[in-house]
Amino acid sequence: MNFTQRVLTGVASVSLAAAGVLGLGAGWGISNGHGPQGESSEARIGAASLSSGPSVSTTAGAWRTVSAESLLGGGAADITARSHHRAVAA
Amino acid sequence: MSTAEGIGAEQSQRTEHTHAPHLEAFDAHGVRMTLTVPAAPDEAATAAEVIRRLALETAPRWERVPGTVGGTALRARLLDEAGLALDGLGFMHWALSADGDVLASGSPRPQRAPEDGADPFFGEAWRATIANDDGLPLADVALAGTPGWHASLAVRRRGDAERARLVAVLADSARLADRLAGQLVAARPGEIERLEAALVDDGAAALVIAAGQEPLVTEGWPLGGQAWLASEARAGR
Repeated sequence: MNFTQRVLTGVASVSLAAAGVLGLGAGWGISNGHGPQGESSEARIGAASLSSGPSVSTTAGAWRTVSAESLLGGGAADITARSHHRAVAA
Repeated sequence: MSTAEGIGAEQSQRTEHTHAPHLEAFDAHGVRMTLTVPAAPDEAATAAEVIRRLALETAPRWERVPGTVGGTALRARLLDEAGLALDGLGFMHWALSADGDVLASGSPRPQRAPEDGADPFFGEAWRATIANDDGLPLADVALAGTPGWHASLAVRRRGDAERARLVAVLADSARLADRLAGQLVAARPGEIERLEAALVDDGAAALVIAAGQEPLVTEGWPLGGQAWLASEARAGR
């Protein structure tokens, strides 16, 4: 299942997990209050891990395209966000 | 007391304020709410009771139309009001969710007590994942990290198959994240570019994933699970 297919399957679950139980994961940005830190080259697709640096290209305006892998940080989550589906007439 | 014992006692004092995160969950008028707070169980239960009363007794009075508690705007307001209530109770580290929208402050793993130093940072940020229905992660971001600076994550989706679009917005309040995410998910393709200015003006960051296209992010969206700090987003405006 590729990235787009995963998006199409829909949306998210939300769970608040006890972080102490989940433990630390590699690749998550750790803040010291002075700005985002850390780099992540680990991305997850399903159960697989692969190395990928952020692949970024600039589009018109301030939006930019990135690779799907660059969005991931790896490691266990404390919070999982779920999307709300908006019903829109075609 | 020896020097070693003195150091040990000092370290004990520095860590006595930290607890493993405690999860409380309940339903309020059909809205699934969770509170995670690194506090003693009795303190977490007290905090959850305050949030429960807010959700069950106070929030229904905000309804413009009776029976709309489940609306995203009201859920967002509930999150913001609940966050302020927790701040008022003296909780510095917490994460709330209401049917998938998230609001967080501080850290799940505080590293030291507030009186230990002038640096307002007390621990690592909350790690949030945006996942699909199958639980597979689409994006990771780290939220908050600095007590008193709220960070919110709202995710919205519309359409199916080749018309599917998923948007996620990071903002310093749940209501702002909800409003911007609603605008983004409803926007026509040509309008998304224009909405970037509104996002920047509000100190927010956004991710758009549309079927068949590479993901789009605004300048402030953190890649690779890095931290998004509401305080810095505001400061950079």
